[in-house]
Amino acid sequence: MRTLFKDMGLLLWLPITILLAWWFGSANSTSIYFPPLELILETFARDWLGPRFVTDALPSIGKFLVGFGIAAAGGVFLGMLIGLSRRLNAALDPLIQFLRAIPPPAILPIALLLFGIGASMNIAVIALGAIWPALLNTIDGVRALDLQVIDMTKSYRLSPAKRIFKVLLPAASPQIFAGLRVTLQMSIILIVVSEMFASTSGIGFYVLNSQQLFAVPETWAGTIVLGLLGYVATLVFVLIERRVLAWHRGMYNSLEKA
Amino acid sequence: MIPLSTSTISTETIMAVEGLRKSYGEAQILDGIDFTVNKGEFVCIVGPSGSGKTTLLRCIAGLQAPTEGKTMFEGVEVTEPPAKLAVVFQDYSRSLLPWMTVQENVMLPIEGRFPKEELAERVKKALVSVGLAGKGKLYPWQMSGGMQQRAAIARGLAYNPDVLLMDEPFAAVDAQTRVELEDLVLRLRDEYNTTVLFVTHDIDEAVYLADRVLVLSGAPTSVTENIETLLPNPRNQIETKRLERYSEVRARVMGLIQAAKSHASI
Amino acid sequence: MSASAFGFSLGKAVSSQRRRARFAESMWGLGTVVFVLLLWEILSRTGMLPTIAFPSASDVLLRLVSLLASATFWTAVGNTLSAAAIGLVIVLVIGLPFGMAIGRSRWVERSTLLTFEFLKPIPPVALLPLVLLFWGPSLTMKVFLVTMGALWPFMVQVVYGARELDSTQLDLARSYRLSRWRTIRQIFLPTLLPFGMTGMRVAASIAVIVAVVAELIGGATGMGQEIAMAQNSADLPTMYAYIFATGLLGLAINGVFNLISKPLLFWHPSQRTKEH
Repeated sequence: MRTLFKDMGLLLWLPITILLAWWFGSANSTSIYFPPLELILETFARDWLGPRFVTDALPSIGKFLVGFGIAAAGGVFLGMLIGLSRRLNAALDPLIQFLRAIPPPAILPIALLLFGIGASMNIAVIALGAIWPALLNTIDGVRALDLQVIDMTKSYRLSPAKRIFKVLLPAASPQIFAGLRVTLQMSIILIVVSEMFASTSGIGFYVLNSQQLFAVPETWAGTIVLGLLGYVATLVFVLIERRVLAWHRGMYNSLEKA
Repeated sequence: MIPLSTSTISTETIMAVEGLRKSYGEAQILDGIDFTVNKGEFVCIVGPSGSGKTTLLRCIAGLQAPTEGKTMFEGVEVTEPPAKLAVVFQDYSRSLLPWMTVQENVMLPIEGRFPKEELAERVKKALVSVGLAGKGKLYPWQMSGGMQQRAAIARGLAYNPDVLLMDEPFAAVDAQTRVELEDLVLRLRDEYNTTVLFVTHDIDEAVYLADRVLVLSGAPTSVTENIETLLPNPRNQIETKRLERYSEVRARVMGLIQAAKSHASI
Repeated sequence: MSASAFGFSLGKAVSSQRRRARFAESMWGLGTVVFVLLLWEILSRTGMLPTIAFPSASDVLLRLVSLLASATFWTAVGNTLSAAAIGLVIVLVIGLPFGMAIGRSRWVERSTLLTFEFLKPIPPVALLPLVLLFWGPSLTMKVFLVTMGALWPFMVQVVYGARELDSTQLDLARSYRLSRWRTIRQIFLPTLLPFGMTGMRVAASIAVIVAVVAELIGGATGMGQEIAMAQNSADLPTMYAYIFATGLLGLAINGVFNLISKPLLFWHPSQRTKEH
């Protein structure tokens, strides 16, 4: 019990100190850049716990989820196709290496020209820009499949569906998830950036717009919303990953002990 | 006259390997392998390390095409893995899938081929036979090496094969476990009435298990000898190994292997 | 045939076969690139691609070549690269001691856990409006953003590396009474290096991405701003040429990392090529 309290203290002293320092340090602040934390939180509550959540936050979240979904599913699907064919992999490798080396936000102007301002542009940027980590990791994961496992699937004459869904995908899943995690981070960056770049609504638009209007508390409040979005999305992802890869952690731990 | 076997070895050929050659570029690995396996027989293939045992096995199992020659399985030429042949691989930690429980691993090859109840029945029977009753819900990595290889054998049995092909299955387990597993395989062969083709580098194991031992030469590999062990069944780790005939066969195989090795390293 | 001669001839046959296969593979790759460019050219010339969004491939490539000879281009590259580089140096200076402290001390690890776990997933670009507010479209703004984006991936790797320093090796150093300097140079650094390199590799690619965003949206000078300017003046070939150039820059940075990891990490499993 005592050690538990000690550990809680250890975990909490720094965040609490920072928050208290911010709260009291900014309490009587007259600086335009650092409004009192109280004011920031009031603005946050007023804007984001109200109707704006529905009009601006939900559409952003929706576009982000659709974009991430396309990037993730597309990356895994294409990665499987490419990873399974030596020739396809050889043929596409240089092209893929080049495309993934382009900083994804740099394609924003192209997407804008193609799709104009709107949800389809935000989604397209995420789908095209964030697909690469999922794609490359799936290719690597599929290609790394153990020869003895391949022999096993052949000699027991497993059907193609079984080979893919029961053997190939699970075998590559640790690597696929590592790629998906980066795809997720990139998707968050891209939804924010694409809304800042060209949009008339959404969280990214709100934050950049309030900065341009010099509405400082709003800028801070919006930054907090973006931070929370990133935090929650990652948290949900990690929870899913833990569930799906429970076998992998178990195996790893059992090897560590041996 | 020594009884050859309590199980029924017929003279009917189930597998025939005819003039099998395999080379990679200029390097020749297999140099004309010929042998037959009769129905119900337990045949051990023993050879020095580096003698292309795994290549031979992959050719026989239809996992690899030979450069020349062919394998006949139940009268049909092998061009893909035959449906009535199950392989138990050397490295159980790699051939059992770690994301599935033991039960799911055993069920994997036969899932969808039988109604649900029969499926469960078959899996259960296979697990009981190998001494893993009640362990089906464990993951392979939660079990010892010996238990994992038992699970791999159960997967082979549930597949209901006519021939069980085993590739150095006990190379990675400790000596005591190996003894247990050897007797397990002998018992299962009688219980399921399967033909077993067993590849090993261990001479004692080969002689103890086999009705017939095929001795391989060093690379490029061919069959140098075909020895009937003529040991009485059932085998017993102590009694069988005390027999004069056992020492005789063992000495002969040992001599051939050493000759193969020294020939290879000249 | 003797075993050694056999092994040798096998190795030779396989390696020459492999070389040939690798050559064929690189030809396939080159072929695809040429094919895609040709297809793009034909589709844009025949008007099958919307001209509003796509210039022709040849226009883009020619523009890229002429850009490579212009001072504006290299100034832009220099601006982007210097912001990324300064940011990475700061990341190194902050990330190394913090990462070491977190990896080696339970007290530091537990104390910073919640704060860092909260800060880590926050997208660095979320801070763009705030830092624009503070510093305007300046180098400082860019460097700050780059640092915030690249710090976490680097530090995470340093923490892994510091945990890897196992007590056997440290005991060994103590029992042989190695000097502090030799312990650092011969045990700490070699253990940390592969992790640090991995971290820097990830950090570098994020640094370029963040720098481009700061230029594209924040209006700081550099390649991102050139892209935005070309877009505003509807100069599609220049816009595409700069986008391509950012890709080439990314490839170049990756190439540099490959080049320096070989001699630095020759002993590490990731660099070992199997002898057959």
